[in-house]
Amino acid sequence: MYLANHLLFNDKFFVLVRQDMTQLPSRTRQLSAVFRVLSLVSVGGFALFALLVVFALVTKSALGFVALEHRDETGVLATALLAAFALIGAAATIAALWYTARLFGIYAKGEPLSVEAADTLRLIAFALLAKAGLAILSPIYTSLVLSIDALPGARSLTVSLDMGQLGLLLAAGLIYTVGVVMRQAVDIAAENRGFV
Amino acid sequence: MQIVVRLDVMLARRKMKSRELAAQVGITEQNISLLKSGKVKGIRFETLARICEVLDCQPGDILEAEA
Repeated sequence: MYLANHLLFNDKFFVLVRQDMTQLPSRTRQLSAVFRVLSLVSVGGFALFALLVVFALVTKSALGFVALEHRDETGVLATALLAAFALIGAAATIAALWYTARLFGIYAKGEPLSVEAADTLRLIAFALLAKAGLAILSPIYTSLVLSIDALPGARSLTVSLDMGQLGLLLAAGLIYTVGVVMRQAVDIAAENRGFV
Repeated sequence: MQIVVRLDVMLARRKMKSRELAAQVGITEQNISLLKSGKVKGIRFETLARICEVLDCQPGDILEAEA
C-alpha cells in the first residue's frame, strides 16, 4: 500500500522505485565500475608483458624480469613456434580479461539481466576454455618444439595435467553454465515484464 | 479465439476511474491502461483477484473469450 499511495500522487516516484528493484544496488554498480577499470588496466598490462616475452624470445635477449630457459639452445624455427604459441595463449587471456571488463561495464550500467550480459559471460567461458586447452597443450607443445632440432631418439614429449589446468577447465564450464542460465533468466524477465 | 479484457466496461459500471482502481489494487495506472487496451501478455491471478475484489465482480466479468 505504501507504493500504491505514492503511485496515486506521484507516478515518477514509483517509476524510480521500480527501476531500483530491477537494477543492481548502487554499491555493486560502483564496485563493477572499479573492477572494469582494473580489468582494462590488466588487459593493457598483460598485452605489454606478452609483447615483451615474445620480443625476448625472438631476439633471445635477457630482459631482466623475463627468464627464458633454453634461451641459447633454441633454433629459429623453435623460437618462432614458441613465440606463436605464447601469442595465442596471451590472446586467450587478453580476450578473457577484455570480456570480463565488458561484463563489469554492463553491471556498472545496472543491466545484469540483459542479453548482452549473458552472452558476454559465455564469451568469457569460451576464452577461459581456450586458455585451459592451451595450458594443457603447453607442456606437450613446448617439449616437442624444444627437442625439434635434436637427433632422432633424443626428442622428447612431455604430458602433464595439474590441478590448475583442471581448475581452469572447471571454471570455464561453470561460467558457461551460468551464462546459459542467465540467458534463460533474461528470457523469463522479459516474459514477466509482459504480465500485469 | 482470443481473450478480450472488459475492464473499461466494469469501471464504467462501477463509476470508478482507472486511477482509483490502480491505487486500490496497488499497481500503476500505466499497467491498468495497458490491461484495458489488451497490450499485455497476461494477468497474474493475484492482480486479477484484487481487481475483482475492488470492483466486486467475477473474473468472467473482466475477461471474455472472443472468436
